[in-house]
Amino acid sequence: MSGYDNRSGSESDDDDFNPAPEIDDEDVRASNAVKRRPAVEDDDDEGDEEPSAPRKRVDDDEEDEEEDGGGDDDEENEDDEEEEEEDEDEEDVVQRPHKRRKKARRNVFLDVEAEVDDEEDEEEEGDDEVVDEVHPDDLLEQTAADLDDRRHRELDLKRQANDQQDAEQIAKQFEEKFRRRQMQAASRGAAGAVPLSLPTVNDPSIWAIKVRPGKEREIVMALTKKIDDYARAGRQIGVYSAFERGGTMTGYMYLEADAKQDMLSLIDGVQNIFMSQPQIAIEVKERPDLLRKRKRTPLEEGKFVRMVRPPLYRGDLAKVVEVHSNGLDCTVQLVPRLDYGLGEDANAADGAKRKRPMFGRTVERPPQKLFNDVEARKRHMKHLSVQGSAGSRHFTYKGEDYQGGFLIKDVKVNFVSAENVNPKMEEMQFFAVTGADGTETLDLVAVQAAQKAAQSGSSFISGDNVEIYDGEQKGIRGTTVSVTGDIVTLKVLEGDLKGRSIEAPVKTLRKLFRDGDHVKVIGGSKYIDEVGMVTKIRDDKVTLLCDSTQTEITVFSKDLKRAADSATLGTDSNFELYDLVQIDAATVGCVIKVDREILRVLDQNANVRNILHTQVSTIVGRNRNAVATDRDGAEIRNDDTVKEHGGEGRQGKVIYIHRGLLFVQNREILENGGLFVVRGQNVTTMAAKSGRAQASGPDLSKLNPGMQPQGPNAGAMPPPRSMGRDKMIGKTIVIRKGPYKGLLGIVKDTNGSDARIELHTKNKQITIKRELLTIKDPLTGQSMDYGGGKFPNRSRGGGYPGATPNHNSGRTPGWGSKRDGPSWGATPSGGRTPGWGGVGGGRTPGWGGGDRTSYGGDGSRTAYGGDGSRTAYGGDGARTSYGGGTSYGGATTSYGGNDGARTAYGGGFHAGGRTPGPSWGGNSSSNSRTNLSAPTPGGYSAPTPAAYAPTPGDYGLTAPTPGPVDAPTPGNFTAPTPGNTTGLSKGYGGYGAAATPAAAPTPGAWAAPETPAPSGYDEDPRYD
Amino acid sequence: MFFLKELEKIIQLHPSYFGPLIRSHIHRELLTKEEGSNTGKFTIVCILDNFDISEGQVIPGSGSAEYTVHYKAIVWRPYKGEVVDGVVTSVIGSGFFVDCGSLQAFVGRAMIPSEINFDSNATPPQWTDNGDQVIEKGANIRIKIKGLRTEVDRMYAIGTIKEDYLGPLQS
Repeated sequence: MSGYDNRSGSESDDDDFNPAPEIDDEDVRASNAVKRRPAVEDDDDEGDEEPSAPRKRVDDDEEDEEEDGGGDDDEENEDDEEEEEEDEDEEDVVQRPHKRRKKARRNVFLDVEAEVDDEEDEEEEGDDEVVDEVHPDDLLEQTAADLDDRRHRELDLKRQANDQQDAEQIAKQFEEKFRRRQMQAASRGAAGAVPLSLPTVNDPSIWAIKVRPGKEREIVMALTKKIDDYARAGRQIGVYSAFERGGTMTGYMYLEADAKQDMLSLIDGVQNIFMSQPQIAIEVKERPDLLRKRKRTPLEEGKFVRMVRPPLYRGDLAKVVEVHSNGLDCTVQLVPRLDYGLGEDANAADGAKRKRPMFGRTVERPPQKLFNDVEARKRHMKHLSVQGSAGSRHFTYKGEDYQGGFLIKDVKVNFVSAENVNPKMEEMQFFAVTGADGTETLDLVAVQAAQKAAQSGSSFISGDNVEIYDGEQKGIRGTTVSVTGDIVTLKVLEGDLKGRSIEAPVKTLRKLFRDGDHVKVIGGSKYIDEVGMVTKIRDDKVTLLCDSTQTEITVFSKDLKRAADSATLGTDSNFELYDLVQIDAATVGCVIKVDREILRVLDQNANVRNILHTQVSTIVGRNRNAVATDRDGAEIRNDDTVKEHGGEGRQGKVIYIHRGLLFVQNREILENGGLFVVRGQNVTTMAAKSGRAQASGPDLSKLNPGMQPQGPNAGAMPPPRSMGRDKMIGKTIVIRKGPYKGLLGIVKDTNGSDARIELHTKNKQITIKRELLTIKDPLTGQSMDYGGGKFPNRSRGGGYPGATPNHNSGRTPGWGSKRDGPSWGATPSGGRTPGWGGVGGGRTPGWGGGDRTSYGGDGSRTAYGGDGSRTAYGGDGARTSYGGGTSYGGATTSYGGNDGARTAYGGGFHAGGRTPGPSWGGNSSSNSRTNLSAPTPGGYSAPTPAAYAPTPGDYGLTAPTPGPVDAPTPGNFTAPTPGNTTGLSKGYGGYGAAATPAAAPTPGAWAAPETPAPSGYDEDPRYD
Repeated sequence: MFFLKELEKIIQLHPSYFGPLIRSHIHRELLTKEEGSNTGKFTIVCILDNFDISEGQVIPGSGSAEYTVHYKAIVWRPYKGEVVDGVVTSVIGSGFFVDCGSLQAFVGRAMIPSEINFDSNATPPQWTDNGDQVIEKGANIRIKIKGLRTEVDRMYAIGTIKEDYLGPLQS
């Protein structure tokens, strides 16, 4: 028993160390009857292994209430042992003297691993009183020398005593015993717990003594010796037991003694005990915990364990191959750590190093690698031997067996740990079983077994539906409320306890799911992170249909949790299902499965490959413009539905087009995630998405297609292109901008927007932008419109509206100051209405502005105030103007007659040609007459000269004034109506020859000039 | 189960659509985009004609106008436990898929009565009890929904035919 304890003691203690022990009156009562004695017997198993482990009888009448999970087995063992002991006590002493002798060699006082007896079972055997019979004196007197004799005497005494008892006494004893058992049974039924033989204040105290860690056992041995010496010397000891707790409480040992002085005198002078540190008395209620045993996870074949020893393999994962029948040894399979003599000093004496292993230092271990006989042969041929033939060869290398690359090792069961194994995936890879078809499969059962133990509270979250499947409360269903460590609080949903909250250890819980629940695999298998719907539940195995692959998988319910409505696999991955990825320069593939480390990819040749995430160079993504043609030559685009021609006739939606290959998806196909690859040439289009898009109407958030221009150039009309030889060539120009600014030159050649210029100044040809040139008249130096267009007239017609700005810009103020408003005002207002309106609305305000200023000067605004129209003129408009315009005397008369009609003209003319006043005056009358007959054309023509005339006025300052004035006037005179038009418009024409205007009176040309475009074009040069 | 449900949709209109036909544009948009769509909880089967278009509001920065349309529609929402009819779309060894209108359902092997077995040798493959119950692609079938999963624009279900009156319909 104690050997068992020692083993478990080396593992971490996960039991609750300080549970509140239950004490009832039974215990108190029973404890009064406590009789203490050292146990003389020991159990058979531990024989030679644990020579220093006597055991302690705490109490005869008390019962063990260990709730430890391992209680059952251990108790049974104890029971058996008890039985044996008691039998021996009663009658076997004589029959088995050898055994007795062997055991009695141990010190009866000390118990390294004390244990609590199970009273109940003893009682059932009906012989507990026999144990009581041992005479206390024996304890003190016994020595190694007289042990045998003592046994015999003991038996004799017992027999004597039995004989002396009369029947009545025996009856009484039995009665008492069974009465007690009934009471116990009753109290057990009531309390629901097994009464415990708990220590009380009346018992000897237990002290915890600080010792050098690792030396606990040695000290216990030393104390044993010391007690022997004391006993030989006949000294009273007062110490009942000494024990240590194995690996659980290193650095402490415990001593049970009546008084502190007894304890101190015993430990005084013993090595490795730290006497300087105070000894701690363990409180009464904590004492039972010192004896608490921990359950040891039983080893099973095929299970994964962690190695504890030897140090070379400490912590390594191993698989149990066989558990030997003695229960102490097992054979494990592990991945060897061998260096095949690489780090070995060839000259060192063999085994010399082993004599003094490095202490406290960890040697660097060779990495885990499967056994390689070639490596071993290189240096250690002598250590290697081979058995078996090709298929199942196994090697013996340096005294160890290797099979299939694994080290097969026999170890003691306490060299391995079956708890908290938690195998990692990379460790498991070694243990993957390679099947006949080359696929590697892990032994999932073994993995599950290993991981099942790892279940902790963290796999439960509040709100889980759970069922208790083990223990007293088996079958209770509820939802978890909270999880604290390994204890889950759950609210019961059904049954008698409905609505109550109960607590249950995680170990006894399993998650409860129902058909159709949407769940996610959260661990424990290769299906981790899969999401699916539950289709079948059998025990704690749940079958679910994966969302991603549409296949059914079976996992343990503990590995599942209820999933959010939508969840994706491998969220931490850069890759998503159905990504098109570049595998190498020539190969692309579509991801059909995303695992943690591995992508399964369907490549363009329809092969499925498993590649690491890192092997993917890029995600190609979808090319929106990719197009393929089907076998009929029809266009295939992404998202079109196609059907394979011939073959399996598969159909599906095109998700990627790559160089004529189509990656087609069809959810109903199960293999490769519903994806397959076909050539565009091998499919026919079923339905084009583009067709659907049209049917569904335009996208309202984009520009209305009905508004979109038809054809490529359906925007604004481009300016007309000149055909043939560029008119600009040969023209004299001046450069307006840039380094050559102001230089005169001749255009030698043009090319698009550039022109080659030969400069006058130096014999040099430069290329310069056309728009930086101004065409000059070679004779006058006058800027001119070079009329690059086809329609020379038009450019002049443009001159007509173009003139207007001249008015606005330069003249108006000038007029305002110099001239009489009324006459001016008359001009525009009269003639304008029809004529000017046609030319462009933009001008009117300009005129208005001009009008008003002038009026202001006049004081004649009353007339105009109403509106700038003829009404005003009919009345005083004319008169006022006359009054104001002294210089117009001549005109006035003529106007007098005109008044009713178009006063405007008179004014207009006056204004324009103030210098040649008289002559105009005459004109105007004639004009006005014409106008009277046909006012509209008159209106049209009339203002134009007015508008035009000022232009020279402007230039008049420089020089040209006479020119234009002279030239047009005759034209006007000769043919008033048409002449007017031509003459007026031909401002420049005048320079060439006076005849031109007269000769070219094309009225048709007039019809056009309104087009605003040319006018704008023309204006620029004019302004300069 | 079918319901009459009041719904609301916000439609954005490019300025080029502003004009006398705004209403018809919106109406058409509503019908083409909403009818037959799935919100993840239900499918809009039919939009009733009288709907209410709010005043348009121009979105700052884009010039588009936003219209809130209130309308009523007949919607279909499947429930756990509901019995629906559908058409088998695919038959595989682990069960078969059924299309119930907009809902795709899977009936797994565990949800099929034990007397109906998979026959992979038949063409097309089928689940059959070697009697009059034949489940093959295109068959009409009545299933009961055991579980529902919804995504943003789709619904999936697990169905069963392992109860009375469920299974292939005689056509």
